[in-house]
Amino acid sequence: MATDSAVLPGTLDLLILRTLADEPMHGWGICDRVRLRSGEVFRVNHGSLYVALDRMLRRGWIVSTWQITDHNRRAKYYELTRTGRYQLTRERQRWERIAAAMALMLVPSPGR
Amino acid sequence: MSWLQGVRHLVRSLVRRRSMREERDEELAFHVRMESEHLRREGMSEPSASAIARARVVDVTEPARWTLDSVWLDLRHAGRALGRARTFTVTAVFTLVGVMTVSIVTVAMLSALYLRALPFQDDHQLVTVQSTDADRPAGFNVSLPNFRDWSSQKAFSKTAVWDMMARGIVATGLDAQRGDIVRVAGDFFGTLGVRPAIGRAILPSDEQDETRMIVLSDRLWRGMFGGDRAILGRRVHLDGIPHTVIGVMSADFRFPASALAWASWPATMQQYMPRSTVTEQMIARLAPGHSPAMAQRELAGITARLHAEFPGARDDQATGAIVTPLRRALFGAEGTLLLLLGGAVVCALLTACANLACANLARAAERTGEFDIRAALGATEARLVQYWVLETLLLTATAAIVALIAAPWLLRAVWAHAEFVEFQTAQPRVDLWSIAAAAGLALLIALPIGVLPAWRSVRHHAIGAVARGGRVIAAAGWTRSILIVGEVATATMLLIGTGLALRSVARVLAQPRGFETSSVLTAELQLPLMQPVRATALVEALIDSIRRLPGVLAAGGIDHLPLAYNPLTGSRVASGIMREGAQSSDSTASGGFHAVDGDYFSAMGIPLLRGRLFTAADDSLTPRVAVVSRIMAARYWPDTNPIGQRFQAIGADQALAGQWLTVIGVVGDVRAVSLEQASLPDYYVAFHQGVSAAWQRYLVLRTSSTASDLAPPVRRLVAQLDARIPIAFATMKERVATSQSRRLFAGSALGTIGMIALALVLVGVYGVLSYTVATRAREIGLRMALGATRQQVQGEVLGAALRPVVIGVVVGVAGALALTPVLRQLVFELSPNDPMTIAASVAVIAGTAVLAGILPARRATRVDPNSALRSS
Repeated sequence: MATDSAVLPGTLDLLILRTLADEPMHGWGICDRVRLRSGEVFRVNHGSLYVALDRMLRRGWIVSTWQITDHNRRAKYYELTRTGRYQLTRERQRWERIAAAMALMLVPSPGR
Repeated sequence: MSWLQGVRHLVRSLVRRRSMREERDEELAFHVRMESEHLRREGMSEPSASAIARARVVDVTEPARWTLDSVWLDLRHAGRALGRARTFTVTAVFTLVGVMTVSIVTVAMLSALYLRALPFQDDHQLVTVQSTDADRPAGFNVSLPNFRDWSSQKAFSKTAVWDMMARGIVATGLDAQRGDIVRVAGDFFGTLGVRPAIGRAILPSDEQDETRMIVLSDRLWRGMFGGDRAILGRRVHLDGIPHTVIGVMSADFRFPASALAWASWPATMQQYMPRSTVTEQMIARLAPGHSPAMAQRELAGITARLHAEFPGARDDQATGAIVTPLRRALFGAEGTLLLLLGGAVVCALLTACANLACANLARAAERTGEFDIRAALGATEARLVQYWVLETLLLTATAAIVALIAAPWLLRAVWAHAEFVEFQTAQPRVDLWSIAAAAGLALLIALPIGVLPAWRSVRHHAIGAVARGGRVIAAAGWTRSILIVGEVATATMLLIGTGLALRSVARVLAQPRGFETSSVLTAELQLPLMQPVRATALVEALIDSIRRLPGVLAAGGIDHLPLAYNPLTGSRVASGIMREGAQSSDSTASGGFHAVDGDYFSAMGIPLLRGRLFTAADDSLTPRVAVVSRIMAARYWPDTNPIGQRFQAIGADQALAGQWLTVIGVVGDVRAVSLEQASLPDYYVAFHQGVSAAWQRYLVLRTSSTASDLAPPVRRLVAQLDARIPIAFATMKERVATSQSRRLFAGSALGTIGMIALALVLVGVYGVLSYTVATRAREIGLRMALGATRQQVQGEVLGAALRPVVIGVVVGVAGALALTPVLRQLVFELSPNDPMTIAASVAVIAGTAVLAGILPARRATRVDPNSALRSS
């Protein structure tokens, strides 16, 4: 089942940052990579994607450059900045906190 | 640095919209192609693959084409939002109106003084020339012989001198009017480049003519002659001397403002003015290619040469000259004052803007939910910025319009008190410059204040309910602190300025004046045309009857009252002094001439130090006597008893020409010209012994009770004597206050702006602190639940708020120190960096900040830990 990545606001940012941590990528490539690595669970909506990319550009987490792809086409590539990497760490820690808290929540209460 | 990149991106997205749009189009086209390729690889066949890809990639992020409609929509939205936040809107508009009105008024006054041209031809070429010496480097009047020498310089194309014959009376035989008559020599009207409306001006060639000529002012022409066009060639009498009317000036020519007429000065009379008599004001027109500095150098060279070559020239008081552009000479002091006030107004403006920005940030933070939705629905950053700018513009434009309506009233009120501006060549009014300033202000305030919350709201990202509260404050707190620092700094500087101005006034008033001001009433009399002897007898009879009024302790009269004229013309007629037995070549002596009757000295409270005062025995048959001031005695008879010494007064009064005056008494010094200038040598003669110009009088009465109570009885006495005599009353206290009008104006204006700034700081600190407490309620509740006492919490909340205040005070004091040269203009016998004033201002600001913080701090302690923790 494909889940809308807007399940938790901020998840999308984390996905993008993590994807770009591996290597610089263009927009479609990010969608594709996320889809593949999450085992088709996360399907990034391109609309949300470009809005999120714009936001991260404004915040200086990523920078963009026009480059030529392997197939000789022009594409806009995005790359993490140092701030972006720092932000990735913070988002990951936040996610882990939330996940841990959720896990605690789902433990059956004693005496039931 | 990342925020810098962020800003760069934001700016680019606003500025290079088209190229951004094209880039986005290209990127999406690429996305479509990749998607359709992907679909093909998954097995889809061609037309469907591309079609589906294209359908999926609907561009929701294309920036909507900007239409004028969006502006209209945003305006309506802003109007509704402002209408809902009534408190904010009303406070903001009030603050802005107050500050904008003051700004518009200041611009109007500056425009009248600086931007609108003087009514002279090519006024940038006009300069004033003054003498200087080692003691008086700021410049003093010029002597006629010096004027002749300096006029021959090639730096000047035209020159002239003028002085005020303040005792002038113009009479036609049927009517007489006393007022300021200007005596001119050289090419007065030609230098200024003005032409009379009727007839011709006085030319340099007229000096060779024995016939005296006079050019009337428009005021005198209409008042005395009813605007009779056949005025040319008519005879009027000036101080008893017949003059022929050769012209009438236009109504807007006021140089100086109080002049009734301009009279020629025959060369035969000019020869009586030695190099030692410095009474003339010199104006000149620079020759093309010459600057004031060049002219000044030439004149200094000439003067030095003269002194070296001609021993006789040692009479000359001047050792150099100073050449100043006319506009600066006329408006120098006032202009600096106004610029200082302008600076204060700018400070207040900045403070108000800071408050508005803080409040806007707070509102933006509150409304993030609303803007998140708008962003999700496709609003771009540009639209958000547009919205916020429009909302702020709505506020500032409303305030600007209200301010423009209120400004004329405030301008009239302020200008009425600006008595110190003597050469009113242009009436300040709300002109195009002021309107432009108002519009400019509205835009200038709206743009940065509008962009600030937009930038913040665009950066804000709703991470999640858990982190929301803290993140918002943390993000905006830094900016708010900066704004508080700015507010406090400007308020501190304003208060220091106010303190300096007011303390200077106190210092001036504490200077030894030499005369009494409490319970002293003065009256300015305008006597009708009559023989001087009759005039003197009339005044003596009047003084006698005044003396018999109940409540009058002493009464007398004088021709020039201390402080009765503005500092430009002075209340002093300087004349040469020739002591008996002194060589004429080394007499650089001058003294101020005064004529008195009655008990002038006891009425004014001027003490008699040696000898005696005038009695009834000193009349026209006995030898002429004089009373000198202490400084005059010390300067001219330093080692001997001045009593019994004799001197002659040169160029003072026609009746004294060639007569020896015997000193009979020494009285205390008086600061006649200005309370700020040290006393100069003065001497007094008795009207009773015969003075040629006897129509000008100031009556002085010392009373046992309130001075102004005696005005009605005196008025009745004068009316009984002669109903035609106009009389104007003022107490000495009032005259002193008027003489200080410039300083008082500065002090009260700065003080008012300072109070506004202080109020703004109060509101600002209170607002920020309240907001912080309100949003940090959970954190506070947690601390208190963990055992923090009320005092600790209160102290911490207050401390956190006061940190930016302390920084602001330090910045403010540093700013005031940096502005020392400007503040120097403001002070009198006070250091511009006076520590006591600075300390007092800091104390006031600190007190205000603490006061502002007390209530929110208290509210912090009243937070119920339980409910705070439960809320989210």
